[in-house]
Amino acid sequence: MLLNALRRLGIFALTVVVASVVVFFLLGILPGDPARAQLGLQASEEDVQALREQLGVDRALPVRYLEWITGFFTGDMGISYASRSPVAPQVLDALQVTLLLVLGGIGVAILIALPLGILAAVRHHRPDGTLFSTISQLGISIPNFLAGLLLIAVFAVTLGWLPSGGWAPPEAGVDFLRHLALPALALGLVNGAILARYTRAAVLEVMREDFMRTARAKGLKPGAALMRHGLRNALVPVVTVTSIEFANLIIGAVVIETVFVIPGLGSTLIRAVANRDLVMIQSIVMCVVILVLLANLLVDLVRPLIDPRLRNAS
Amino acid sequence: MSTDPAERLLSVENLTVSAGSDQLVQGISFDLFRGERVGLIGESGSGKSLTCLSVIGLLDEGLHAEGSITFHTSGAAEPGPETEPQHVDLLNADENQLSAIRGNRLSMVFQEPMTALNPLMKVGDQLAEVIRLHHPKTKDLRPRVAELLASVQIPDPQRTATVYPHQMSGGQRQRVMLAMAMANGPELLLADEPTTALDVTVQKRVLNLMAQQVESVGSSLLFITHDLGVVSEVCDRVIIMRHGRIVESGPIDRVFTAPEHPYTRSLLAASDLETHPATGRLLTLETADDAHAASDTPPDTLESRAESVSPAPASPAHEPPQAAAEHLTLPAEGGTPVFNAVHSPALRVRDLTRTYGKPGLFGRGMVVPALRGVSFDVAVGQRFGIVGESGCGKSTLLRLLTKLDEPTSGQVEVNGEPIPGRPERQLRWLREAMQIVFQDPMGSLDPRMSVTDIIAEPLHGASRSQRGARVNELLDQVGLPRSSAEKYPHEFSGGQRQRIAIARALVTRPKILVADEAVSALDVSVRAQVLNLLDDLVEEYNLTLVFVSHDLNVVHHSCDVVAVMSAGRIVECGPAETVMRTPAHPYTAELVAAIPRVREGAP
Amino acid sequence: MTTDRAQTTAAQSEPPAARSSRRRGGTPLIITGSALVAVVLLMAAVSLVWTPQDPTATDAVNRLASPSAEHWLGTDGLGRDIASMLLAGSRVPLMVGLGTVTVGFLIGVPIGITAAMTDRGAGMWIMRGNDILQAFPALLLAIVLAAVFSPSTLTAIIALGLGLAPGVARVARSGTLQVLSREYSLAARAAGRGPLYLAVRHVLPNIRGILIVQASVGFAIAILAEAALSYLGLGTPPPAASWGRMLQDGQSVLQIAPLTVLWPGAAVATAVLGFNLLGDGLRDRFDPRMEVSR
Repeated sequence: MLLNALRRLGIFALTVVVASVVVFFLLGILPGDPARAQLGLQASEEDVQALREQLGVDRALPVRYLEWITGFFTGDMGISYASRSPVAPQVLDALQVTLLLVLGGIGVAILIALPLGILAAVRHHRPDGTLFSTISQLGISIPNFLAGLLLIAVFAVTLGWLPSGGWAPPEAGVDFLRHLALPALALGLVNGAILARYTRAAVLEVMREDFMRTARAKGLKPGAALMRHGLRNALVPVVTVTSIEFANLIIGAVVIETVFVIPGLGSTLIRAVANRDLVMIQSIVMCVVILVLLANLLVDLVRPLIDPRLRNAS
Repeated sequence: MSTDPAERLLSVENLTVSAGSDQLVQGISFDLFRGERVGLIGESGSGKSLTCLSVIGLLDEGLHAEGSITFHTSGAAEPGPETEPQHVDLLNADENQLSAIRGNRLSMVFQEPMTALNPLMKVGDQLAEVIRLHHPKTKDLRPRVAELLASVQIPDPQRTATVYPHQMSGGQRQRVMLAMAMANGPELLLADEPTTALDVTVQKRVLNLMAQQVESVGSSLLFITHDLGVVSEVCDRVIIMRHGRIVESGPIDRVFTAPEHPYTRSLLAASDLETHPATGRLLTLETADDAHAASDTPPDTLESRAESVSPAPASPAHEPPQAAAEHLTLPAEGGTPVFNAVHSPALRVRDLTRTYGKPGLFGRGMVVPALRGVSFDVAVGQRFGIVGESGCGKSTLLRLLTKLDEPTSGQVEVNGEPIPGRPERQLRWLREAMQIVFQDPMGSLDPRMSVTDIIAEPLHGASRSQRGARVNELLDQVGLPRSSAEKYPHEFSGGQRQRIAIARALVTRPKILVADEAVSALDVSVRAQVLNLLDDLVEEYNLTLVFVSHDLNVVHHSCDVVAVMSAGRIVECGPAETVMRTPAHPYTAELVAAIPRVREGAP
Repeated sequence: MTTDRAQTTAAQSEPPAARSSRRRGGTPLIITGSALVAVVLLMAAVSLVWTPQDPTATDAVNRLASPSAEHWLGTDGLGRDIASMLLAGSRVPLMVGLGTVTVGFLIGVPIGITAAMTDRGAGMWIMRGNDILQAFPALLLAIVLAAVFSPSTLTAIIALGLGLAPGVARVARSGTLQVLSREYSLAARAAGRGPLYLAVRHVLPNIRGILIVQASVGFAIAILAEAALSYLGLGTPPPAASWGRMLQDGQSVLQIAPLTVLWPGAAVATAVLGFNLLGDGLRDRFDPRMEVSR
């Protein structure tokens, strides 16, 4: 069990390293010379060279990579090309905001997905089951930013209950929740619909299993058999999918933050893209990739707790 | 058996099970009396399992049961003290009534032990659940759970109660299922092919336990099976079903010794691998009655049509091409001998080993020796049988013989040519000289290929017309109509598919044919036909046959020499007759003893 | 273990007729899905030859006009004809969908089949690489590529295709592994047939079903992602009309003219729903477990 966890951690670390090389390649090498790009074609070679030295891009690639990656993990993510200020504090602030938003979104998604998915499965041959399936089918087909716009139109513009955008830190209490509500809902609704479909499929699959028939043969009524034997088994694939959904949520947050003007990783990223602020982009992309990999790691560690077959024999 | 209605436990009247407009069970009626052990026998599609599931009310969605099934329980349908006898109409009872009866008065053991237990729940908890469900007031269930596990001979019951199902073997799981079914002392135990997925030696143990448990609890038993041998181990009355109807029923001694219905006769003959006294061929649905010189009702299956088309040269089944093989066993110590050693063999195997897995990157790898040093020869024209239970290494051996896998060490020679380590392009001759017939008639034919493409697959570089001609020739030989050529596998039954697989194996006119459990997935009546066909073709093509099977009976019928494998080694090898009659190795003896006998004195 | 379980299949061999009748599953879904997809295709086709108005022509006088004979669905904040923009805006999502699926499959399918068919060690490393690629969500890749190069339909297609590929590879690999575990694959090898023959004659025809399902779902994902990219201003640049940018434009006038958001939103949802339903129906028909032995 512990050995397994260590092994997973090892794979995680290795994956992060390889992913960081990919990020470095994508944003550190692929775009070409940042100094030339900043100063333009008319600038003299001396000026460009001076800026190269100032930016540190005149050195060998491996050195630049190592410097970047050690800096990244020690809180020195470099100087923004655009604002000429350190990137790290901005990224970390934004990261905190995005994490809160994503957690809110996951909460909403699970609250929607589990009941909806289970009901749709249990009653799959009845009209209400079909209705649940249809709702989730429609849910998946709506882009999350559209859901956000519609929520704004209804709850902010028409009813005026909640703010149409902006952000308040958790310390703000109720104000924080008021600002979180609509974006988390927009994020959670769509991803909840996806998760609901997986839940439905997993529960349907489990209901066909032999051990469910055994449970009925023991004298358990259908509902009790599902509660005691079915749901935990259905949870195994659902948890696995949740890690993929987590990636979707993070990337969904990028768009939702723009809709609601929230100062998270996403809106910061979009702004950096507009400014072609590659240092900033590089750090944010690395953060997102690590978050996705962390979610995978978490799921890998949790699955054996649910399913004894995944534990080591020792 | 008394017919006093007071003693009736289960009355099935005019039971019909239908899927849409298809009637799968067609109005059957039977009674089961208290203390009786009844075997419900039939081949696939007979409706036997559906009948069983109708009784416990767990038919799959889309299936609908009509008629009446009355369960004459002595009471205690509700948990609590014994109450008045009740007559419950199982088909119309509500969920409350049914769930009070299920697992309590009426319980069931299913076919597939690997999937019938909840994988996420400890075994002891699953057992405790069924007791608590019907006796909610019971306090500490641990002693009772341990007692139940001990009663089905699970070693170290206290500890075993805390393991998960995947940590147990199939046989152990099935015993847990049995303990679970018997936990509340049911009046009726339903068992649906409970030992079909198990090895024979394990099957024997589970059957004995079941008989013993039913006896000690005083339950009645309804035992569903396709295996006549198994039924004679546990039942005292049998009901024979075919195509959704009951064709015959009666005390087992009478039915098995003096069957009245021709189908029963042929089923018995096919199960025993009985041969026709004149031709030496296995008796099938239609020939059984010739042999018994009594018949009516023409058989109507597609199988039978195919059978009548196939050529039937009357030749004695066995005629060892040379002097009888030496009878050897694996010595308790020392090296393994070379079994069945001959000069210039078709197949020479020396010190063959194969281990799976390797030490993993993070020390997680596991090394499993599947084959631990095997040496034998197969003479040209010989029929060589390899027998063993699951995990004995016979499948691994087969993959090495046919160069579908590489050995860890050792040598395989086909017609004197070494095989291991040679690149595929140097082995074109081998792919023509040696062909395989696989076990699963569903999985061995690509569902997206036409029969012509399937059969002609081993023909490299043949023209369209050559292929067509050869395919037609083979379809004739395996007894399928030529119109089959353009059809797809799903349009055929299991036996017909196996004929197609045999045709594919013969298309290159091979010298050696390897059959991997080639008849194991077939119904007994179809099995006889396919074995006859194989006999004919081995004769016609002058084949050297390597026949791998878990079924000693079948190997005994089809082979001259048999090798018995256990734990990755050959433990005994010799002439089939000798090994079967006078097994020398203790494992072989156990294997022979475990074969369920349909009738005393049967082979 | 499994190969020795000879006996278990005996009781399961059902008559052939029972199996073919099951193939007809999912028909209503396929019909509904195809109909919705057909609507979108028709919109794109019509827009190639005709739109009610010029979708790019602004009209300062007629901003946010209500539906009329001239402007069927009204005009947007710049006075452009919404109906015309809707029609013209269908082309980009379809193009991105087609391109994404093509790129994703050209990369993913060979990788998946190769990973399954090479020996276990090499296959494992291929899939590890695949896992790493999967840590880069498609939309993130698209945003990054839009930053590195410039936003265009082509960058969107390449990025989304790269993002789709790992999932396709995964599906192709598990399908291939299933096919390879079947005895007919062994039979083909025993018949002296090489890996290429196996891949073309056995693997591809048998995983075709799940790949078609995957393509349909990939289409839906690509359309959603394209809408998001255009909304963020990182998709196909103006003047080409696009539903996503209509949504972005509409957001600023959401309070006074919600219809400017609803129309393109409904268009995106219709297209995505169509491909999703089609995928679902096809999944029911082909059965992802590739029923062969049961």
